[in-house]
Amino acid sequence: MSQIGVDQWVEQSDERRDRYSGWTAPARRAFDKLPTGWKLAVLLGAVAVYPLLVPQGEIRIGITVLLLAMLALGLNVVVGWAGLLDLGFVAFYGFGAYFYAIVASDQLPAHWPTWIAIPIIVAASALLGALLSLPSRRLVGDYLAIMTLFFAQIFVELVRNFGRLPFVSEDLDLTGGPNGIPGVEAWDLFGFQINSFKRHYYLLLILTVVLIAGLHNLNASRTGRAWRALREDTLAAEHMTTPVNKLKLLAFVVGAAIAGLAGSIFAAVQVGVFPNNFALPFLITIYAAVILGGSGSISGVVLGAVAIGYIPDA
Amino acid sequence: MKKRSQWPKLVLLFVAMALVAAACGGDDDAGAGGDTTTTAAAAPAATTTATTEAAPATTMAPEPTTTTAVEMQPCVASIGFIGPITGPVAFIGEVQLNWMQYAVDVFNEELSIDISIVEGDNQFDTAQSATLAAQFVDNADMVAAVGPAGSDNVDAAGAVFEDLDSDFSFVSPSSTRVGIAATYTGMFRTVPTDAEQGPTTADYMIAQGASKVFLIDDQSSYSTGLADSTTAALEAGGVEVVTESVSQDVTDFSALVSTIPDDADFVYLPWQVAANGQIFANQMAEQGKTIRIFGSDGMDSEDFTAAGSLVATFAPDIAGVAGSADLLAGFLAEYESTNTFGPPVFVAAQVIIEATYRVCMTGATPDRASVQAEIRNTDLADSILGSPVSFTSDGDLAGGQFFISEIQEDGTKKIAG
Amino acid sequence: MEFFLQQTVNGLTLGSVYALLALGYSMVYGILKLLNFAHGEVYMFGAFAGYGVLTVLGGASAPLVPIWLMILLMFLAAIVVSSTIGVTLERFAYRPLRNSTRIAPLISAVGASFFLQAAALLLFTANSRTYDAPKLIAIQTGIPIGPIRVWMVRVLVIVTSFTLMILLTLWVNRTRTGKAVRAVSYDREAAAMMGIDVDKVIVVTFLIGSALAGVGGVMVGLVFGRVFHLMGFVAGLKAFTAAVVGGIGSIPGAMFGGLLIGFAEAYTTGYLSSTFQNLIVFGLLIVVLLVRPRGLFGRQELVKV
Repeated sequence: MSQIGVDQWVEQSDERRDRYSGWTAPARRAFDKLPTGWKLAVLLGAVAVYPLLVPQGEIRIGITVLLLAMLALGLNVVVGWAGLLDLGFVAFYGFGAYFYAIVASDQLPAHWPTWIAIPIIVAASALLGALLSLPSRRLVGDYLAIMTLFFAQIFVELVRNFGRLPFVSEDLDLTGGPNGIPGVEAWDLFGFQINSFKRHYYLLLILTVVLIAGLHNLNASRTGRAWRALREDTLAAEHMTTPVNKLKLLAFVVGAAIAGLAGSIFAAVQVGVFPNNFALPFLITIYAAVILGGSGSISGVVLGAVAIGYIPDA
Repeated sequence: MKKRSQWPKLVLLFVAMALVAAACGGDDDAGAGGDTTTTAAAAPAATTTATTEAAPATTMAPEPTTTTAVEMQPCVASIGFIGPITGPVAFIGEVQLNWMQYAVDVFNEELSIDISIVEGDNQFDTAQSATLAAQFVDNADMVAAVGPAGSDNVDAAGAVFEDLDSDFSFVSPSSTRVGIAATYTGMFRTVPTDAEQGPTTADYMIAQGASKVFLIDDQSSYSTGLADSTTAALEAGGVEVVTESVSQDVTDFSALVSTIPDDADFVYLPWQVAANGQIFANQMAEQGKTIRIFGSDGMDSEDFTAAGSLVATFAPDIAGVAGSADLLAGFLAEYESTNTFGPPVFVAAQVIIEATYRVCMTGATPDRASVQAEIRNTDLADSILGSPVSFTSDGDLAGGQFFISEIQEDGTKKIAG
Repeated sequence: MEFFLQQTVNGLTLGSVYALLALGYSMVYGILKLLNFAHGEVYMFGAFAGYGVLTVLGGASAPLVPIWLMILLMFLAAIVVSSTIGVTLERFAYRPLRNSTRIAPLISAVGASFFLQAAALLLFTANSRTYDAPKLIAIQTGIPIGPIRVWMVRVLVIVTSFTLMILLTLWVNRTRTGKAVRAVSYDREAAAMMGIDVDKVIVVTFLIGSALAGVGGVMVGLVFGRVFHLMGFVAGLKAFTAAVVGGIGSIPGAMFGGLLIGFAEAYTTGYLSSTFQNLIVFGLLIVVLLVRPRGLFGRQELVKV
């Protein structure tokens, strides 16, 4: 019997509280009572202490997972929000990685300071993203997909054979061909070297959290809503005077910038870059993370990245 | 949003498929040998394989040569293996893992020790190699590792070993790039480098009076390194070299075959996939081109049988060497087939196992530093490859050399130079 | 002239195999709007089926049956194996998801593709197999065309694929089932309302598409020789490209797209560079798509808002 004036939820509150049993019950009840912000803080705390408790190999996997999470977040903007099937996404990751490797190794005599290199890499990746968005003015659906796929293939082909291009002199083998570029230097943020697995993990964790916050706000903004309109029905959105081409361009730019940033960290983590790191199988991995987690949802794609990152066979 | 309701079903399906796929990939070596290898399905990387040879070390009396009265500790250690067990060049990894298993079985019995393998599948992916390297360093029982294959994977794993524990030794059975062993403290290799193969190959062609060579690399790091050193040696000898390249993914070479100039004396193929070389040879025959093919050591395989062709080899027909023939027969009795990537793994495992054994013989418990010191002291008078094995201070194989053999009509090989 | 003719034959052989594969891709897409990523693996199993028959019947060097019968049996085995796999995929991987989001069956297809690759690795190991066709049909046999001679196997491949393409076109345009296929591809719901058994039409489409892939697998085994567990990936990618460039869903488009890519690859390697073959071919295809955003034969669909 329901009491008048008390709804079901309130009425059953004791029942819900008793649902938890066993030794974890008090902790879980306490967790339930926390406000959302605090809950997030607890989760973040758990992720933050993780590398202090596990051996190096597990931290290395954690780095892979965080990198994948960043990439999944970036791809989610293009595919999940704007609904553009971008199969060239992995090339931006490669672009960022190669760019960083070239300016932070012995490939070039000039070694750029990290604080200059990173903004330039992110900007350059974004510019490349803007370039790739141009065909999306005319091409839709699977035709856009194959066009971007060509872009990804061409990227790998180019870095693998850069030194053989007819207009490139033999001494200017920037990409190192199939050997890639070993011996990439660590990030150096004003004297602070990011040179261990642990430091890389925290760098990535901070960037991922900032990224999630930024994307969360972006999604709630006017632009976010416009993207969803674009995804659900481009034609209708266009008739409602949504600036379709500008939005497509923006989606590509944001995705590419995120991927370029992730790439520059990957190059430093691996202490090298190799053409095969950016081939199609890895693109499928990023897609798997986005789709498994639920394309369009920020928390979903992050969880997807965690799941996929721990199964290397996927 | 009715779309959402389908997700649980989809996720289930995907996960199920991924699991099945992983399980299939994981235990494909079950049929290969009689061993009861326990291989976990989707474990991220390292899975311990227990050897069936119940090590009799504990029950056997100490070897008569050890005069010390110290009670012998059972010599127990584990060795890692990093190789492409699945992925695009799984034919390399499969054979390598089989030889690894075989070497451990042979020496466990011969030396009465208890060595186990921790196998790691890098899928020929540098990121996987790096993760495996970190996990190997974490594994306190592990004294050293065999692998990885491919110079880019060596770079990725080497950077991790160097960073986390430079006492950890890794013996690569198939990395040939010049200078790479000097970069990493713990690196050794049991194959000669491009610096030996390139000039040997070039000298032979020059001796045959070559004036023009058509060279096609396969865009892998193995291939381009070899192409560079061979080109340099050929050009130094006044031979004109025309270069082309073709991706390993391609299996129709007919368009490329048509471009071979008729006045070339040799077509040099420094290729990793010997089966591609066979297709190339067939397509040359089809178009009536009779120029001789010269293959690198990667083509020294049962898959490449074009009569009259030449291949470089660092182990001239191990079936002909007395001790090696027995080992090879023993291997083939247990595992179906082998290729050129196999025997160097046997040597790599042997080097680590014997180093561990020597540490045990001093009465000490083998650890990474002592094993690395003993690997440096390696001095095998003979090996399955038919040549002595010792290392330079960089970790390169000392005195490695190449031979050129010619493929006969019946598929056997005869040393030509 | 000789060189040009030789490259034309090379391109024609390659192109007709791509075309057969692209047809299966395009037919399935036309009906289900689904990119069947596992199509390359269906083709790979066809190639292995042909290899199995060849090996059981004595191998290329000592065949137990006449050569024409051997080749016929190889094709038949490939057709049976490939179409069984294709229809099974449809039944268990795609049909349950037919009414869900568009991307769901796509992921299922990628999963199926990985599954089949892993299954092949398990069944056949990672070693490359070779048909050794030059022992079956001597490399000296062939039809002379001007200054060059075309090997009988190539003739067989080219003739068979063109025959199959013509038969398929006739079937789609002239038979009742063909008509039903076109109707379902045009509008599935309307077709169902007209009393067309949509499930049956879809099964038939998978059956035919997969059978063509199986035939393609045996052809590749015969003419190029190397059969291995990952051969479907690159081939599937090429077929996908051919189907899209031709205008996905269009049957003449798939044929034309396949041939176009075959020729483009051969001429690029012959006259420009083998190293940058993909670069140049992809660049060319990008231009094609920019000029014709719906592919060469694609029709502009009217979209309702």
